[in-house]
Amino acid sequence: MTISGSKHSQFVGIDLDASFKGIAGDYGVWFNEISVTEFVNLRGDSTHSGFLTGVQRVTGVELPVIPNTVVRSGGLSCHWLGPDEWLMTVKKPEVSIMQDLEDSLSGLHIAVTDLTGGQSLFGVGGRQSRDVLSAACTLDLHADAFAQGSCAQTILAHSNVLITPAFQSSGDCVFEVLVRRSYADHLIRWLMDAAHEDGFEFRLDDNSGLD
Amino acid sequence: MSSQRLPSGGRINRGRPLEFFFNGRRYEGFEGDTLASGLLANGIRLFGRSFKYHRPRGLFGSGSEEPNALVQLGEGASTIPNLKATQVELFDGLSARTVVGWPSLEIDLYAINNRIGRLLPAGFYYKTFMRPRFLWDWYEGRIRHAAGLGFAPTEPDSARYDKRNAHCDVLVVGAGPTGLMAALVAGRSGARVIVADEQAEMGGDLLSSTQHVSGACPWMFLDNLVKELSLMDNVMLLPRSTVSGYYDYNFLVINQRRTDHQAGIGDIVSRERNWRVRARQVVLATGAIERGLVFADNDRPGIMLSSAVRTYINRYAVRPGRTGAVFTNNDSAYQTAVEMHGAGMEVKGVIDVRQRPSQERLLQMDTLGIPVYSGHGVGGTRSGRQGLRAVELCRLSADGRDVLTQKGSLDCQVLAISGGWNPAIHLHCQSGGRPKYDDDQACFVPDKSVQSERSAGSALGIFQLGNCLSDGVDAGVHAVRETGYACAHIDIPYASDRTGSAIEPMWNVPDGVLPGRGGKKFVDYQNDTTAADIALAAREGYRSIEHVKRYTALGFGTDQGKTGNINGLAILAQHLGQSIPATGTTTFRPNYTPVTFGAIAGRELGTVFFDPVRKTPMHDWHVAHGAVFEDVGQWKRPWYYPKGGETMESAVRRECLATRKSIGLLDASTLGKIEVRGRDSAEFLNRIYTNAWSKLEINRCRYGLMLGEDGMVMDDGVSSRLGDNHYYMTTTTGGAAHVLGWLERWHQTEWPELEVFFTSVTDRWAVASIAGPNSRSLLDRLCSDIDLSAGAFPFMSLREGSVAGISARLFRISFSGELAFEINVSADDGVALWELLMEAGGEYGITPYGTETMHVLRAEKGYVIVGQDTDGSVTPADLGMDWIVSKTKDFIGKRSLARSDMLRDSRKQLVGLVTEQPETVLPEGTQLVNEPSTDYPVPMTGHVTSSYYSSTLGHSIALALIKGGHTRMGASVYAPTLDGQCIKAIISSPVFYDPENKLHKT
Repeated sequence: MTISGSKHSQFVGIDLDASFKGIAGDYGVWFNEISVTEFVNLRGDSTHSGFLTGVQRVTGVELPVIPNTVVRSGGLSCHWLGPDEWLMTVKKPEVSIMQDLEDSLSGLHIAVTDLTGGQSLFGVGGRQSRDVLSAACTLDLHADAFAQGSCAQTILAHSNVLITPAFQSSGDCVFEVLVRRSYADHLIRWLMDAAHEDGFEFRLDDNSGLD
Repeated sequence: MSSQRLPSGGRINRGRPLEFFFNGRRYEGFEGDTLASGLLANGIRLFGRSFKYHRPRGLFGSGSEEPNALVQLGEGASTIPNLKATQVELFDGLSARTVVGWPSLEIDLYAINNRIGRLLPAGFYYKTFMRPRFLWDWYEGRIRHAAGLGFAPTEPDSARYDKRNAHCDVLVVGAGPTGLMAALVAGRSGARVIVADEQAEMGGDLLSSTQHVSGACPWMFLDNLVKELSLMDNVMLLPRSTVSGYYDYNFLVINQRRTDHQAGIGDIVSRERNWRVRARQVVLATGAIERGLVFADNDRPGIMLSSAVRTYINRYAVRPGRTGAVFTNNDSAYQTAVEMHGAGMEVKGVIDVRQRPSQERLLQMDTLGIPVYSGHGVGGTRSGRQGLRAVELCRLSADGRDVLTQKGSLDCQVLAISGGWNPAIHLHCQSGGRPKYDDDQACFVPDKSVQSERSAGSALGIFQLGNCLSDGVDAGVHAVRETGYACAHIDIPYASDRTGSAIEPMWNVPDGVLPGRGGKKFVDYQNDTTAADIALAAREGYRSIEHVKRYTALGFGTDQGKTGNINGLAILAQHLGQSIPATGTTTFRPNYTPVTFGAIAGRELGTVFFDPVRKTPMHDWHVAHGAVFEDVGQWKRPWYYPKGGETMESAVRRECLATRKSIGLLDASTLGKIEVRGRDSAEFLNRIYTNAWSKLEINRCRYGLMLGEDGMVMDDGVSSRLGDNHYYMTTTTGGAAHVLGWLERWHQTEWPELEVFFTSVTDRWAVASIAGPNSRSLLDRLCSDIDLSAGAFPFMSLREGSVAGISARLFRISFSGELAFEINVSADDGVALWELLMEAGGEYGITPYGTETMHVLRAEKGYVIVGQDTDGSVTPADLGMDWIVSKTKDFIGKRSLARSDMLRDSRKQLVGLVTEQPETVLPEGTQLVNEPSTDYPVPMTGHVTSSYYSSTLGHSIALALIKGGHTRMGASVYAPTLDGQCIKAIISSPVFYDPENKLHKT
């Protein structure tokens, strides 16, 4: 099974049957592709009340101003990237916030930039997901240090990524990894290799997080 | 060779015998043995030859301090050189060889060096092989053959090596009694703990001990402790893991050996793992290493550290010989006499340099019937075929400096020696801490902590078991409190310690003969460094211990002088007439023990994982259509698309002609793309680019050059105006990240008042560029909502619309000189667009082309590539691009352009070159001269930056930077080639194709 030429897949060219069992006899890690219908990069002045309310008017959520945090609501996530920069992901095909943000914030010094298509988002889950990510990631991924509601921009296998832990009701954690599209193929191959001992599989289902 | 295995005891599994091979001979040992203990149990005493003198050597230690017993493990691609037999765990089928000894260990012809040793003093090689210089290569080969240790594999190692990053509250280094207690406290308190120990089994000295703890035998105590720790989720136990380096901010590196102790594990599990640990608190429970004594002929096989003798007897149930003696300057070795006696060895005596050993010890020996020779030293040793046979006794003067009388000899096969203990302060020192000399214990101990670490137990100079256990608890409590956990209760175990080691330093045991006349007194066994070498260094004027180290090789090698360094520096101190602390130690650098290159590299190797490979959305199409790729930065770009066995040359000719005659298609997705938004965008661009941007109309494009502060061309690209305060910048493929950082730097540090934001959109757009006379016709068929006519959509403008239903931004820009359109669509639509263009372009013979054709086409047009035709020393004027440099506004680099050197007539300037022979293509990078002279050196006048055969023009073309080139049109230059030819070329304009830009107006 190969998703070839599928318009939105970042796993193009990767054999999705390439899963194999690790030394424990199972798949310690799984990867899945998370389809996002809109990626929006937002720049603006968070000390300007008109800006915050303008964003909230469109998204229904308060823009996170605490560094390295994410706010999620109804298929929409706002990631803090910097004092004046956020990344928004929309996972509902029927929703688009690009133009609404432009309209709602018009007159302010802002930049709303559509990044859809330029970003890849995938989930890394399973018993050994932390172990596999720690092969390439220098951050502390322990649940105490990297809790629900956190996100972090870091380097994973020499690629710039945004990692967001998403805890499921079972307590299991899925790490959502956002990477520039051109790096996605490299990164997935790197992680498949890192999962050499733990075993991995691809999952097609797309229920990665809580939002 | 009779079996020396004791009938019972030891931490070996007698139910699991193992077969192994040493120097081709078969032996048997047990699970739990090391190669060293396995061989010793088989009666093997000769383990190797020394590095320089090729003297027979046996085991000296029992762990990572071992200087002598170096082996080459395994064969072929996975072989490892210079492992210490004391650290190699036995497994079934293990095969090892000694590393020194030619042609064999038993008959080593280089042992002649021992006879002529007096001719080979410290610095011998430096002094002897200096001249004549040209003979060095020959000398080097001979020396390496004589002195080499093991060999590196010549084939690639197929094993995996990997890395893990880890974080913990408490990292405990060393799992001896101290470390385990610290880990227990931290573990019970709920802290995240990592315990790393270099041995296969946790326990440290407890593994070799017979001393009871809290009333229980030490192994029962140990097993319970390790079991409790292993059941804690918050504790990770890493055996076979050496903390090899301690770096800033409590960052430590652990080298874990995962498979070398097992046979046939396959390639699933990595062979070694490099742990990179950030610890909030570190407990250094690294223990102490016994040091030897420096006396004449102290290197016979059978002369071992007292602690090693104890370890072989207790831990491995091996008797190192039938008869033994002890030579010491402190109390700790008396216990070894007890253990030797208990193992059924005939103990001939304890030779103690101290005049008055403690009464308690004397009584203890008296009970066992072991004579004690107090105030005595070993003046020399004699060897038989299998190593030590006898030691010569001498009575020492009260100050220990002279021999009073020779006192006969003791026949013994084993001499257990102890010169005191060196706390393993390596990691403390690597962390930035200093060593401090402790006069009472005659050793260096850790001074104040610099990072969040604490040394504990023997590493701190605490040599009694009971004190180590309680100090381990203290260290654990300290670490737990510092990391904010509530400390769990713990009962401190007790052990009945005998008091004090009562050491009396003895750095250089006198032998009663003139200096340099008696047997060699080895300080560093691995490097064959003797006390006489150190004395020589001092006589020759060496004062710094660092210099003496490098002159005599003291402390180099795989053991890094763990048993000899302190003796060596104390001997130097004596010769220099200064104190030990004034002499100081050499620098403790990572790594504590050798780390393989595989572990350092991990998975970051080869073409797949060394560096990211960036792919465009159309990448798989290119692969499917036979593209050959070129690396451009991290990107893979199609280089050319050979058809049916075409060479690169013919493929590029075909692609060029197809583009010039009909349509070529290029994947230009890799260009850097940055959206610039905000009220001050135009002002910002004015400051960044050399040309003016204020008057650029919406939907128009402009080419721009960026300079560094030095006035040199840094990057270029076309930027477009999308809206009132909205621009779209493109950069070179390789310069994208740098340019974004450049913009942010200037904005954040110099002009924060400007309202402007930059957002990278490089990956967001897939870009297909169609170029050639038929490109408009093709686009007309696919695009209905944009008027593509030259009047409505002129050169250097952009339009938004759709191409075959795909929403797109179209730019009329050209890097080929042809009529061209760059079609930007969402990356998601890249493949679809590409395939539609290929399909619709079929009737025009649309031809995909790669970067090589792109380079030829742009060179024909005289367009430069920043980084190929420029090299950081080229100004806009050098490129003949004065026209793009504004005279009225300021911009980065402007002031530099006014420097006198920038106005020099003789600067290298960009010109074209046409070779006299049309088919001859100048090599890129070749130097140019004005005359075809052989009167070397010929002055250079410039160099070729780009060079191709132009099939469109029917002759070769080149771009070159030539001194004063702009004023030398029509002049001849010559390119000397490596084969002695000289190619003649004529300087021309760099624009070879459509110099009037007629095609832009079509």
